[in-house]
Amino acid sequence: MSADRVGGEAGDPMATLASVRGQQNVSTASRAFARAAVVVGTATIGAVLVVPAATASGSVVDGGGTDQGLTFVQTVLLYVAAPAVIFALIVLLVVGPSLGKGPRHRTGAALETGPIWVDPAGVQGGPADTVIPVGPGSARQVRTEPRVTEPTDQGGASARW
Amino acid sequence: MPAGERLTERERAAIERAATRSGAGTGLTFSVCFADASGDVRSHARSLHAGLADNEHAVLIFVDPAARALEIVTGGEARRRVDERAATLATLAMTSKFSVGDLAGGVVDGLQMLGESGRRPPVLHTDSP
Repeated sequence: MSADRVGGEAGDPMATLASVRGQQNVSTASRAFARAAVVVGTATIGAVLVVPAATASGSVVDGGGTDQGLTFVQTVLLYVAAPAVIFALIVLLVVGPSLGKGPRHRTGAALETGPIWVDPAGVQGGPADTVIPVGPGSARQVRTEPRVTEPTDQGGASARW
Repeated sequence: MPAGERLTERERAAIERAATRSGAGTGLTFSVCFADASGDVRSHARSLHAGLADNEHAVLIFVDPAARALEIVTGGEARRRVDERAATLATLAMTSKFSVGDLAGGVVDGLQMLGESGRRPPVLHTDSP
């Protein structure tokens, strides 16, 4: 069984890192797109709300019905476009963060990289199974040294999903 | 990420942060292993835990994605801080996220719960066997 520790040991970390960086670029682009959409949407809503007010401020209401009211375009913008933009904005804010996460783990799928240890305290020590790269382009060989371990007073819990 | 069969750097960093934070708050060491046990998952996890340095104060979270199995193994001293009840609650929280494919998120939640549980100082009259 091969072991890939955090921090990179023998194996093929560069391919993994390259694919991870590619994925990060995609997620970064998605976040940038979401931010840009928020800014544009906010500016659009502000403009839509300000235009009728600016138009109305120039008209004189003297009780004789001389105010011009809204044009067809202004009415559509105010009562159709603005709510649609707000709706789209809300959808984007809700869905946006999950766009950059990528596909989740397929339930029941095995790891394609072998065992993965996350051991910040460094208590794992030397792995019993060591990957030995024998040369470029060659397949990995796994040397398995059976470790004699005697479980001590252990507790914990188990679960399945 | 190709269908989630490997951890991204962000996920690894999140798990590391959670493990480090939980360890700092409890004085225990938390380790996480994603591997294919190819057999009895519990005994495999226990064997891995027994091979850890200072396993008495170590907590191992072992996840077998292929078998959809989760094991939390605590050492002799660690189980005084993180008892079976806390470990069971942590497994419930973790499996709820595992079932939707969020392995890293589930592990982070579990580490946080175990860290919170272990942060409670032991009380003699309730914790003594």
